[in-house]
Amino acid sequence: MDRNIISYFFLRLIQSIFSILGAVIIIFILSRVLPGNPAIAILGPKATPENIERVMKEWGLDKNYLEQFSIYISRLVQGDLGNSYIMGISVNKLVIERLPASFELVVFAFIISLIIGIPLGIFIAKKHDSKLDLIFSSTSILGFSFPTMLLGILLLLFFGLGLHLPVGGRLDPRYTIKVYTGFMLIDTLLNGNIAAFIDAFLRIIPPALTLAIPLTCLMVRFTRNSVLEVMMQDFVKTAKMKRLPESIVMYRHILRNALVPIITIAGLYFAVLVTGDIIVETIFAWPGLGRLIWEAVTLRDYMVIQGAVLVVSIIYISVNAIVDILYFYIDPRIKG
Amino acid sequence: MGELKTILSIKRIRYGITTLMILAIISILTILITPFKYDRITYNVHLPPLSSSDNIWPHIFGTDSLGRDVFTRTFYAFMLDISCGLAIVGISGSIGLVIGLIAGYLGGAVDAVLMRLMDIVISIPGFILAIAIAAVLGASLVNAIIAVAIVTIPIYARLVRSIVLSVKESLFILAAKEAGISGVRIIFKHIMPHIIPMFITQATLELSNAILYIAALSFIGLGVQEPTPEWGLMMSIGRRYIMEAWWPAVFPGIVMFLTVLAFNLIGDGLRDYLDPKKRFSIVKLI
Repeated sequence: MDRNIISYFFLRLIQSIFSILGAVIIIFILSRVLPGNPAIAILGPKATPENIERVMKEWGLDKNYLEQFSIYISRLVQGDLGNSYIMGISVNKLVIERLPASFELVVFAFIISLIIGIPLGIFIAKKHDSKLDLIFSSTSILGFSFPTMLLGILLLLFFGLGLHLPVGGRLDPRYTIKVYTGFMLIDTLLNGNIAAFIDAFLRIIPPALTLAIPLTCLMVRFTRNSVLEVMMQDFVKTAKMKRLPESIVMYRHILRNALVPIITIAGLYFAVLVTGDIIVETIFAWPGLGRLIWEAVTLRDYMVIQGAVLVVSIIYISVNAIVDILYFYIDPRIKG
Repeated sequence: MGELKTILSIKRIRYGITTLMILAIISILTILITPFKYDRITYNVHLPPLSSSDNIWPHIFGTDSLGRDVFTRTFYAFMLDISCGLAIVGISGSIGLVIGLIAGYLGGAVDAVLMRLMDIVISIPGFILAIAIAAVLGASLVNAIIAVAIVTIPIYARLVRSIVLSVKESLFILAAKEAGISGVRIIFKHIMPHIIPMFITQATLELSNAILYIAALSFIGLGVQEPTPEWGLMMSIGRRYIMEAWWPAVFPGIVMFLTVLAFNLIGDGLRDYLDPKKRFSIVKLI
């Protein structure tokens, strides 16, 4: 069985590498094959002739596409995403600066939706066909039809104007925090600054909730359905007939099996989080990758857009691969 | 006819259609008889909802940061966003249909190449890829439509291919092949009827996605440009002044939510109707 997992792991790894290569090719084609000078696309409409020449030389834009691609790939493999001529620094630096903020927000949102979604889903599954179940089943569609934009704006109004809590950004600028990990919630604690931690905590809640609410609705729905499905199976009936305590049946028999589809869904909806993240970071002025993409779009900085898109795609592909491997690990019945 | 009656007897579909009809009627009436022009800038900046105007109509949803009537703009945007959604679903649906049919029917190397291509597109989060495409093409409505259409092609291609594969080996197709009927005729006469119901269901669900995508692209500045009324753009501009006036951002959002919800309800209802396993429980539940 262990050998199976290892071979599956490598298979999935190779698959992911091909996916990433595909993403790289798409982004390369997008930037080169379209009409017009790619240097102008990189530099923006206000490009000076010297800069155009510099970029042409740097990326080998006067050579044929194959050579251009090999230059592009070799730079990428070295981890070089190029320079932003509009923002004036390297794209690598920009992305690395912004990544922890997005990571913190997305993970926080994910944890909220897991903590609320799974227990609530189990609770509703236990009471299936009750009034509560009926109400939830018929209203859960409301939850994921709710546009992130609207939800974000409403939460901004609620927390900012309604509750007069601090919203926008990660931390009040009057706190100076020494950066250790890049995660504000951890850094403020490491600095021993409790007031700053509370401020950072209050500021992460509205954007995290915006991401978490639709995801929670999905979690509840899928948990309910998959728990219900497992509950109807024979081995659960047997366990119940053996008079095993209900909590043991729930955790050992039902949940373990029900978790498999839940994990898949969690992985699939990571893409939803990524999409929502761009909107949410724009609304709440959260200085992460999503906000960086928005800033780059506003400045028409194609180098940054391209770099950020590539990084997000790689993260997305990796998360999906990890989820698949996890899936295989939990449920060895699945082969490839 | 009987089938239509059954479909309409599903409450979710009825609610969805009713919501859409109401919104569409309001939108048409607004475009026909509104005394306000959607792009006329006035001094009446940020008037709250229901405040009276120089005309017979009050500003039902208030005015925005340039003194334009939010109600008029929101319902002009309804028509624009629905048309964008239809255009996207039309383009990507028909391309996806052709790719799926070819890949599924021919199989072999053609299938492998086409499907790997689709895998690549699907391995990048749709919205991110749409941003990359729209950013290259330049910010405009048409480019945003193209970007979203490209990104959503694989959804249809995969769906159609899977249906083709499931019916390709059935006896009636093999019999038709034996009888010497041409491939094109087999596809249109014998395979298509199996595809259409699922395809329409998927397209309805994708319509709401397409609207959300277009609004999101406009929201970050890559879609529709001022002064064209579009929900995402209106919310994006309203957001800047959100602490002074909430209505220019919130009302377009609510109408967008209702529209998306309506399409989701219809799509959800259709899917349950087509899935006979679920049909019984749905009739019982709702």
